[in-house]
Amino acid sequence: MSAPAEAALDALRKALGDGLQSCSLDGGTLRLQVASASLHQAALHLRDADGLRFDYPGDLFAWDTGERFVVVYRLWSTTLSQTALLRVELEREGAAVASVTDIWPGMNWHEREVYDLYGIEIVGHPDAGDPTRMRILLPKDWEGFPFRKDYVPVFSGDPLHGPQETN
Amino acid sequence: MTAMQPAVGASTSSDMTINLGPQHPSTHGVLRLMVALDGEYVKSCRPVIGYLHRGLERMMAARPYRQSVPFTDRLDYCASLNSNLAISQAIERIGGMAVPERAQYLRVMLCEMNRIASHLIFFGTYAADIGATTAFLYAFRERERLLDLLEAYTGARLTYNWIRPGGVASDMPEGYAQAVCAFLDGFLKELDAYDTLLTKNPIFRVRTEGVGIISPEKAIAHGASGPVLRGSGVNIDLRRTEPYDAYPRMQFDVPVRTEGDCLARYLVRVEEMRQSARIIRQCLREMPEGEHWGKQPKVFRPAAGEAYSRTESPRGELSIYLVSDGTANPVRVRVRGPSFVHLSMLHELVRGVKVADMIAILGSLDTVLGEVDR
Repeated sequence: MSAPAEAALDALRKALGDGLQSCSLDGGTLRLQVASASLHQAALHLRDADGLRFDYPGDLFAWDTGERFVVVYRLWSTTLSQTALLRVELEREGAAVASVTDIWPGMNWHEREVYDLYGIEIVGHPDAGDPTRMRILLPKDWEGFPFRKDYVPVFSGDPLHGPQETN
Repeated sequence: MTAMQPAVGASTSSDMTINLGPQHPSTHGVLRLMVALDGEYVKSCRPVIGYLHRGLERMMAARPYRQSVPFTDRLDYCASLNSNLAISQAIERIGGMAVPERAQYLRVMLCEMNRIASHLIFFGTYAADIGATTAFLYAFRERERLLDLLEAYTGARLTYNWIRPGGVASDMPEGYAQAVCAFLDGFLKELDAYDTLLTKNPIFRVRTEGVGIISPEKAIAHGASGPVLRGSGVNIDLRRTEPYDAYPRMQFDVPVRTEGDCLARYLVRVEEMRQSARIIRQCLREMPEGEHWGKQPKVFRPAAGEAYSRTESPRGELSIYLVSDGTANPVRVRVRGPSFVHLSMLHELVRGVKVADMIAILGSLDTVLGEVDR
């Protein structure tokens, strides 16, 4: 990793303090884990700092370990051709994470999908607070979050929601 | 733009909200656009997706890794082999499998054949969107020949399930290289004829030139990829920047246009078909003898960890991320498709344009709803 990148990461360590839970370089990929409260600040730094310049929103998705949720932001730099995996772990109860749509507009729909499938609140998203606008892949009146490990499918008999009851 | 055009965002009594789709031919699948119109002009547009959501990611996570390949056929059904490649690479990386050299060449050849077939669909349907029906018939004639070739090798016309973790399902049949070369000879001549038919057609140019301009900064900030990104002057092609399989050994040009309009995206795709033909010929010429299939473990239980692939599908960056907890089934299979990302840009691109231009812009993004909805 280049000298400006080292300097930028040092600055990030200072700025976030305990908010930066881990930071390592693994085969050219920068792996970071931050506390959810520090996410937005870390994301902004990753995009704008010299030597980092993660200007390209590669991907954003979550998974459920059974105990907690993990949210991963895969970022890429078009000028420096490097990848960062920014990771946040969330407790299941009241899981919420700050929106980064203002930093990378391309994250907008990915964030809606994370809400849609896992029920993780996206604080500050343009559609936040209105479940009918946040839902993206599922019908807007869907109940529950089907990618959670504890999700139990409910068939209502409504053709939109599952097979119709037969006699 | 005329003097009659109202200011964008201003509310007038002539506002009308209409639904385009989910069953409208111009939406290329089950996509619904909620469009607020003021006369001919689009004031706002909100795409509604999910009509084709099957929960493929969750289904893939509910079974052993190698059984997820057929599901990827149902993502981008115009270029299934490219989706097969993305999942195979991700599984190979998480399990540390090697791919024999011959299989790498076979994969690249198949992916490029599928890229041509996919771009031909774009060529045909885009012309039809704009009102030129003839080009559609020409493109589908060539695509038919290509699908016949793919069928002769893989046994399927759309859902191939052919590129698998560790290699490809079987080697080429006898005489296949000659058949592919014969197709390419004819195809390149036809492609020149398409230029006369559509590219140089003044009506087509008026409909696409200067329409739906995406600046390079906007393309990057929105995560655009593939021909959409390269049509905006950003020279990024994952076959070049993060090459995989036999691509590092291939000689080809990456077409880039700086205009950023619908015509630029169209021209990038047409030129990519020529480059794909070049790559296929190189594959056939330089393919080494050997196995088409690497050694496979009977039970596949990768160590706990994460791995992902990034591939250049005909539509852009197709990336699959796997999370393993050391058991036989993955914890999470994540598919990042280019169509989903490109469709999320639409509402910004169409604000203030005429309805007909909205169709031209949507078509130029070349989205496939199977991949958007998953």
